Order: sequence, then C-alpha cells, then structure tokens
Amino acid sequence: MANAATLDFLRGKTSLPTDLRTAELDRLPLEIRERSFFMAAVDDAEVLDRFHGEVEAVAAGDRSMSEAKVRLHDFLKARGYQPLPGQEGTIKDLRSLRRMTVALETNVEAARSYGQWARQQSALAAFPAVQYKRGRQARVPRDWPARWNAAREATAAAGATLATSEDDMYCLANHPLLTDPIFNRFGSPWTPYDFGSGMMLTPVSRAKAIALGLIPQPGETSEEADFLRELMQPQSRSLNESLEARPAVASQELRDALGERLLGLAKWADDVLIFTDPNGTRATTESDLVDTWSTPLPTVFHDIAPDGLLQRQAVLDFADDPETFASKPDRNQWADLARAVGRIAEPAKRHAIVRTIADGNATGWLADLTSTPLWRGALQVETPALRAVSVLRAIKALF
Amino acid sequence: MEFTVTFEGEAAAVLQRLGEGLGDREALHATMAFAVEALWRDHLDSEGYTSRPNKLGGKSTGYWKGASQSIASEASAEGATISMSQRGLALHYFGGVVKPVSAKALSIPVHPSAHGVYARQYPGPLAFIPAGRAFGPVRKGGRQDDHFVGFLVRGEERVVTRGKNKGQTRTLPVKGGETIYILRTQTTHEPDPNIVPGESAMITAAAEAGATYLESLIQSNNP
Repeated sequence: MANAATLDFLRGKTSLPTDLRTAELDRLPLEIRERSFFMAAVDDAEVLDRFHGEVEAVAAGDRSMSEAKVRLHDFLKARGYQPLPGQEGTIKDLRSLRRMTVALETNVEAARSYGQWARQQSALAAFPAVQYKRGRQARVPRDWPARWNAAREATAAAGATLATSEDDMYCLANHPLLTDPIFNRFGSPWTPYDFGSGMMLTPVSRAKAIALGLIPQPGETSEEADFLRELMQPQSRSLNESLEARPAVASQELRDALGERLLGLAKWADDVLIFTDPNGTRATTESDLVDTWSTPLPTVFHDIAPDGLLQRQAVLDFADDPETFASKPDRNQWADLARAVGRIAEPAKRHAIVRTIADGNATGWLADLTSTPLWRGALQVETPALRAVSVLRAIKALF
Repeated sequence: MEFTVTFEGEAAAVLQRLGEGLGDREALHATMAFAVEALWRDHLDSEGYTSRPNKLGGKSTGYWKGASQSIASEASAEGATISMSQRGLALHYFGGVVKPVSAKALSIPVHPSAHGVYARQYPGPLAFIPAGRAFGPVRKGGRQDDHFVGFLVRGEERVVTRGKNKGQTRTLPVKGGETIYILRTQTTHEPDPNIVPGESAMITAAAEAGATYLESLIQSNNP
C-alpha cells in the first residue's frame, strides 16, 4: 500500500502533453511543473497517460521498474511508435531503456520523496533536519559536495554543514540551499535534484541536529537564531489544496500573474490557458504562427535562442544559409525546421513532410526550393516572425 | 508490506503521559511513526543494502534506494502504520519460490547489460540454446537441476541458405558470444528478515521521538 500523500501527489498532477524540450521545461514556473506530469517532447496524450499510469503503479508497489518498462515497450510497439529519424536508441527515443528509466525513476522518486517531505513537516519537532546522502552507487558521481557548498554560500551558511564529502551534507529540512538552482535543477524541496541522481534525503533527529550545531540554543536571541527558528516551522505545500483551488486560477490576480510569467508560452482564451507551443508541433495557421513567433518567451528562455524561440531561429538560420545549415551535425535544428513546416501543412501530408525534412538530407529538394519565387520573396522580408513563416510557406509548397 | 507497531513499555509510558494532556493524538503518532521510518532507512543504509553494488558488475538499478524511499507511514488518533511499498520486498523478507505467470520460463540476467531488463526488451538479438545441447545440463549440488531450461546468448540475424526456410532470417548465436540470461522454470529465494529493523529498536526510536515531541509542546507552552 503506497502512502496517501505519495499517491495524491501523482493523482493531483495533470498530464501536460508538450513538445517542449528539457531545457525549456526547466524554465516553466515551478507551480506548473509541480502540478503537471510531462515528459520532454512528448505531445501524445495517450503515451503520456500510459507513462503516468506506470509511474503510479511502481510508486504504489504494484509493479517493478522492469515490469513497467516492458509494459511501456509493448504499448509503444503495439501503437506503432517511431522516433524521428536519427533519434533511434537515443534519450529522445521513448522506446529506449535509458529514456524509460529516467522518466520512471524521476517521477516515482519525486512522488515518494514528496510524501516523505510532507510527513517530515509534521514531525519537525523531533526531526528538524535532513542528510543528503548517496542511496545508489554511481559509476561517475556528480560533485554534490561542491554544489552543496556553492548553494550554501549563495543562500545561508547557518543551518547547514560545510560539506567535505558525500557523507556530511546536513541541513535543516527547510533550508533554502535545498531549492537553490545551483544545487537543485528542479527547484522543489523533495528529491531528485537532478536527472538520474543516486542521492536521497534522510531525516535527522533533533539530538543530532543539536550536535551538528544546526539549531539555536534554547533562549538564544540573534538574527541568526530567528532565521533558524523560522526554518524549523512547517511549510505548507499541499498539492491537494492547489488541486481543489484550481478554480482560483480563474481569479484575475493569478491569471495576470501567470500570463506575465508565461508571456509567449501561453495565452488565455476565456477561462482556459492555452499553451501556444511556440517551439512545438501544435497545428496552426500561418497568421497565428506569425503572432506566436512575434511574442518573446520569458527571459529565462533567452539563453537557448533569441527570444527563446528556437524553432523560429532554426527557420531563420536555414533561410540565412541553407547549405551551411544542411551540413550542421546538430540534428535538433533539422527537427525544429521539420516540425515548423508540419504545423502549417495539410493534416494528410503532415507526417510525411516532417519525416522527409527531419531526415536531414536536403539534396532532393534544396535546389528546387531556392529557385522558387516564394523563397526569393521570403528572403526580402525582414521582420523575424514574418520572414520565418514566409520561408515555411515556400518549403511547404514543395511537398 | 505493512507493519503495525504496538507501543509497550517505555513508549506506552510516554503515550500515557501525553494522553493525559493531549486531545487528538494524531500529531504525536505521526511523529513517532516518522521516527520508525527514519530508523528503517538508517537500518537499510547501515546494513549495506542501499550501498550494495550491482552483483553482476553493471550499473546499479537503485532497487534499495527505491525501497528506502518507499517507506512511509500513516497516522491517526488511534495509531500508525508504517509500510514499505516496493515490488519484490515481500519476497526478500519471507523468501519463496517464483514461477512464470504467462511465459514459459523466467529469464535470469547473468550479464551486466541485462540487469533490470526483461529479455524481450533486451537491446539486441538473443539466441536460445536449450539445456543439454551445447553446455550440458546444469547440476546443482551434484543433482540434476530440473528447472533449468537453457540459455539466451548474444545472437545475430542470419539468412537461412538451405531447406524449407531458405531465404528467411533466424537468430543464431554469435561465435564466442556471451551468455546474457539463463532460463529457468522457477527460482527459489531464501528469506531475509534483516531488511526490517528489530522491534525493540523501533519501539525505542518511537519513544524517543514521542518524548522529544512532548518536550517541544512544553517549551512552546512555556516560552
């Protein structure tokens, strides 16, 4: 029988089919990531739900990881799932053991660790601290002590030990270093703190926390003591509450706040927040795509592409120099270009067009493309969004 | 796998003292149960389960880390239940015989690359060698092992050049290829009750946490 908090954590998550890649998902607001079940570049709701179901079965102890993986393998095979050309066997291939392992381990651990975190909040009087320690041997361990010390320096030295090895990372359970981005890729206080991490949190008793100097002496008055006492107060982060309060998203204040934070990622349509999928595969019209690509994404996305719009950038890079683009070893841009064309293609032709372009072999159509009036016209356009969509129109006309 | 811990002796005395001053005991029980969780995790660590390397030399699947993280508790005003919800733990604790449910045989990984992977999901062709053909029957303690079926070894696709299946492909063993799995109709597992800490240790841990909780209540009422 799995713990109620663990199952609530999973059942409270909404499946979020998305074509966002890991680097983009990392930049979604934490409140969305904590409440959504998603996988990088998985926009098929049925596939996502199947992974979600297997995660729940493993977390509940009804299935082993191996059983879950073989069931997913059989499901994907029966469904005729195929990765994009060039992605077979890589982490982007949902059939690969590596991808399945990462998806299952990350989500099962998050659910169980959330349960532990929630229970510890009720037991802080006796267990005010945690130890971050290795729970699974790694062939090439990350330098967690260095990350720990950097996050400790960036947040607060009080309430956390200075790490000299993987064996002495202790801090108060609600210490800010645990959620600092230097230390924790995902930002939630429960583990995992990075993909494939073998580390885990274990509770530390009050007696040991006193011995480690993590908590103030009774009666001690200082700014530091007040800070530490504050960290020993239970935090509330009930996902059930937020689930029940979901209608509150309709409140204007939260709607505006979400809208501001999401910028070009989503827009409100009546009471529904629609993800515009600027870097994905959502089918759209040429004019809507111009709108979508005219709005920058939040600034946290800007390091992955200008305005965060990496699909638009792939099209612009292709337009600037198709031959150099064709010789690039990075296949991601080909995938971006293919998806972009697919979004405005006729539904019946979409799949074939995407596969042809994603294949990355442009010798069959590049010369034809660059000799068309549509292509030449597109190159005269300067506005980035309009230029990119004009280029897509020229490519689409070839197929 | 669930355990209900009955508090006696020192723990019961703590409960008695608290019961006189407390209304709802749920918070107390939650703290005491959490102490047993913490003890159990420490036990798996100190007994070497979580640090156990993969016995085939491959990458650890993190089974014991998962087991440790699956430890959880549920508390109410009446008591608490501590559970461990990881598939296979009951087999570890009680031992037993495992038989295939739908397949003809169990595939037992003997190569690092197969650890944690079902044979039908193994990334590469596998060829079947029945028991007694290439390697002879496996004997255990000098006796015939009736449950041994054969081997799955590294294979390769080859086109049949003769006979009625000419032109079709078959998976045949690679010359010198390693054994990836052995196939058995059942496996037997010894019980390992050491995966659970001793009852007295659990009671002591719960009692200490209960006492700490009581002290915190007293301190909060007398700042």
